[in-house]
Amino acid sequence: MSSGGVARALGALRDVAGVHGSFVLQLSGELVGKDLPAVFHDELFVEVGARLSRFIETMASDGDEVASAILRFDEHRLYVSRFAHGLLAVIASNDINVAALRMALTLTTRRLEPELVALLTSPPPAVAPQERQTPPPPSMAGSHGAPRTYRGRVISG
Amino acid sequence: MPATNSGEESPNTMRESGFRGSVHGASLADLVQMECLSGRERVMRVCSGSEVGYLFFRSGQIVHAVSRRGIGETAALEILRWNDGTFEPCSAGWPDRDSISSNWQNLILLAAQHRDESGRHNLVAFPGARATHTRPSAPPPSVAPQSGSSVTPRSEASVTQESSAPMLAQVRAAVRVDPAGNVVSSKGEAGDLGQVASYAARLAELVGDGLGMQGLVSVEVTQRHSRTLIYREKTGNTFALSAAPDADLSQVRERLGL
Repeated sequence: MSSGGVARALGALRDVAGVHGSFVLQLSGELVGKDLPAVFHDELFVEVGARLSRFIETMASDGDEVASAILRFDEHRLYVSRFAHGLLAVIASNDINVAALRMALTLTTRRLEPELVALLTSPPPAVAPQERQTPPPPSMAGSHGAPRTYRGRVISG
Repeated sequence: MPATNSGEESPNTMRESGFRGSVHGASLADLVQMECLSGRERVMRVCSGSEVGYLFFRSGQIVHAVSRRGIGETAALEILRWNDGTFEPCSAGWPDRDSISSNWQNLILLAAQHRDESGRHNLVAFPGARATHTRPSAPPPSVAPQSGSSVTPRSEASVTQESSAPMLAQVRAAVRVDPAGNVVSSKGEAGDLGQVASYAARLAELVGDGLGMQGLVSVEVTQRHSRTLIYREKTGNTFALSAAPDADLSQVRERLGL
């Protein structure tokens, strides 16, 4: 996927005054990309992502799908917008212009959706076949070209 | 509620040394407070009409309660909501382990809160507005202050019928859950709203912790067919309401200071 595309999309959210940063998760909670200060390292999102995913799952436990959520804290808010294949979360201050943020979220999720689809549908990276490090067990030797044995004796054919 | 310790005791009523007498016109909260301040270990039987309940006191706290409908905090809250009856010591058997961890001030506060709300038919009670979002950085205490310090119940403003009739029509259910997960009060078809709200609030709190955001105030979720507002009260209780998807929750937000 294009990490540059995700970064650009997230970076645009900072145009709204009061946005401190944002991140995108797959619905399963795995981090896709972030636009946050370095102190928010990727490992942090292993737990945060999983919990946010469980939060969305909990709220949808009666089958009523979540569209968005606002988590209000003492000094900050976390806006979460769910789109077809992911979650977009924005950390903002309490005095943010909500109308402007909503518009920005709509545009950003529209841009992020194809990036997420590309990520989910792209084939896994090719891995070179590894050479066998250990010899096959004796009982399997015959199938790999080594002499065939029967009760410890080499047999022909 | 008379506190009796006279010759009319039932067979398992405890007989012990000391003065005996009866007090008329006292509230159960007064009697509980007296009992807690004495710091004694004993069981008090509370009778109200056909209802009977038992409160177990030890070291100045209610540590266990039993009623016909339940045990623990649920039973204590039920008993503490009774208006009239008798309060007398008895020799009921003690449990293996305590079932109540909240202190007695908190229990009385919760019971009073519930009694107030049950008097407001057709109304949903919402917590009072906050002047500011600022809170101490530590999580809210799960229990009220210890004996000796003042217990200041947070002002609870009910939504009046006049000002909020349209909004109330859109509210499908509301529930208040204490820090131990017990439903303190509910309105409408609350179903598992209490469980959902408790878990979701906890997860939100943890997400906030992970991102360096302290002091969860509220969670508002927009779903396809409903809207859910979860609010952490200063008492540590979680209040949640479920409303129609097009519900205007601005009045509620305003009252909560959100």
